[in-house]
Amino acid sequence: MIEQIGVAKETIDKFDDHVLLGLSHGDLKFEHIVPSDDGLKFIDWETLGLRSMMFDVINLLATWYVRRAKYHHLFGHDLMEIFVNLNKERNIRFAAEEIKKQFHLYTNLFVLERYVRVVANKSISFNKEAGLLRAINFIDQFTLVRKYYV
Amino acid sequence: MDLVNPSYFQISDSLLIISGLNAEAFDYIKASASKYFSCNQKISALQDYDYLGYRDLDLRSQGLTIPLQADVLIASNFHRDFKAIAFSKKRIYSVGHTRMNYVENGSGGDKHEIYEFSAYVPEILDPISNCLYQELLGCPLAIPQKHYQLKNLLGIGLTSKVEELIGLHSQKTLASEYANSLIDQIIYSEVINKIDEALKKS
Repeated sequence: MIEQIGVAKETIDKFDDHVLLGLSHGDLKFEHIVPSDDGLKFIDWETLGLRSMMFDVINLLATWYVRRAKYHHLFGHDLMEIFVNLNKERNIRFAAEEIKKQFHLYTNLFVLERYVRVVANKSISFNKEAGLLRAINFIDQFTLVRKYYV
Repeated sequence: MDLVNPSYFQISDSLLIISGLNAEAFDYIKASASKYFSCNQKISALQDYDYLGYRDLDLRSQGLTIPLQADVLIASNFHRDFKAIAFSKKRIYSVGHTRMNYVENGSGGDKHEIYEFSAYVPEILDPISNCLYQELLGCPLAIPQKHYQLKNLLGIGLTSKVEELIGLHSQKTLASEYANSLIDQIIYSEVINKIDEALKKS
């Protein structure tokens, strides 16, 4: 865990730039997305919080990819595609170098935010130790997923 | 948004409110509920303003004070004890405080900050069948198994939905400064030492 935090910090410092924080669901996965007549609905908002812009998207993709080793090599491409689409919507330039920088910044912030989501959990029914061990395991797997891009 | 005295009143045929909601709070809840439930479910809202009062709440439910005729019961905060009630009613939704906000502020906390609607599914319900979702909202997205299925799902509006959420409250910050604040939260948390010991033992 300490190693992962160190790597994240080092990479963020290397690519440092402004990032966007916004409201984040915090536990976005397919089980929490319900289609309706007027679009997608997200449910289970108990981990709502202020996080980096891409936290939910990365969480959604990561929870899917970590269990599917044969697709690991596609994670980076899929995430980059989402960056490009979001940048288009925001009228942000999407030069390759910019996208690469965003990839490194947001995926490494995601690592830190996943740990924080556990340690900052104030719920009386939440077992932090077990939660943190799960997070450590998850981030270890996530590292395998994103290594194809890194 | 101050809470009024506990009361039980019917606003319309489809929406019932129990206790502690003034007009402003009610309007918010009604708007939230309408937004999330496009189906023709009868919706009830239950504003429990006393954490320790759930037993009273349970008693009232036995006395049918809680409008059981409604299809959806909305409660205001999270607690594991609500699970029992949720299970008995088969459905319970939460509006207002997130669990974190509630625990942090305690029962006398900041009650006027109603900022999000949330669905809470009792763990005891079968997570595979997701029967609660199917009853109320329709089926959740099927978890894609193939990569092309994942891509299809990502293409049906996920990014715009995320964008919508971010747009509610966004701010720019320097990544390194934000990372430092995150790292501080991690290393100064009590659980880190415990984890360290657990890892050494394993």
